[in-house]
Amino acid sequence: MPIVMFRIDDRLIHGQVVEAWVPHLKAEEIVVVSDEIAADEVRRAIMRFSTPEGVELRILPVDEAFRYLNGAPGPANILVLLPGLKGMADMISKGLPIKSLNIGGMHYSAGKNFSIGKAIFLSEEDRAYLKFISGAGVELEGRGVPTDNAIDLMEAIA
Amino acid sequence: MINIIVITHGEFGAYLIEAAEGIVGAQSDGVKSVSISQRMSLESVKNCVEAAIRDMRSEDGLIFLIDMPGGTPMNVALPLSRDIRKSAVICGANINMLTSAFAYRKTLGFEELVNKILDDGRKAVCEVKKLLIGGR
Repeated sequence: MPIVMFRIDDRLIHGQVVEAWVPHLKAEEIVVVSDEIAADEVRRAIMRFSTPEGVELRILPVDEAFRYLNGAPGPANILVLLPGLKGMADMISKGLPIKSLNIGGMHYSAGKNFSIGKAIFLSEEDRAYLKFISGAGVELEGRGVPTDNAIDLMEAIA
Repeated sequence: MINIIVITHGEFGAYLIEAAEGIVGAQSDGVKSVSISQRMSLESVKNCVEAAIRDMRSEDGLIFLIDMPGGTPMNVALPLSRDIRKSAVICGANINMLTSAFAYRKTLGFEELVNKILDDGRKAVCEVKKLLIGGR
């Protein structure tokens, strides 16, 4: 199961992902994991348009994404995108094996008072999810694009 | 008059407007730029674009000029444009598109202006050495 990256990015498919990560990871398939977007026809259409030619796109609710990723998705290099930590924590609790998690963008909104770098803002709930994910043996890295230095996220959960 | 909102990654749009005004003359009104930074939440990007829409709504039409297809500016503008009659979201902003918009937005109808911007923008993308001199 060549899942080349799990990434949390509240912008999901956008410039950084399309122009930087897809070529860097040689991703051949993008799986967007979100109940909300799977049910939103307009946002699905926008994402399909934004996905580079030759890259397969699947937009799945969390349950289905877990079944798909936990099965044998085939030989393609898969980039998994999630808008927030909850879906990731859900899939890990169900038993999805994950080595590392990239935190790309969690932008500010009310209550997200803990900030790291320029694009990561965490609420208390987010920090609890990170603690859980890290406790499950997953390596955490904060990185917007491949050429950025990875940001240490351990202080967020200390 | 048909109004224009330029939405880009960083300050590109603000400078593009300044450069285009240098070519076809200052625009006293009917144009606004929204600069999107990596630091902004999607919510605040949306708020900025909504504020620009409130200022720029026009019976004659509203054109969003966006830098890249599939980027955050497009992802935010496109859903908002659905509720605006006579609006278009044009990606791939270059200076010819904007000078053309400034020059013709008072005289052309909405559909004609959209087509004119697309035509002029496409014509601007060329490798002129091969085209005009030949060889590499």
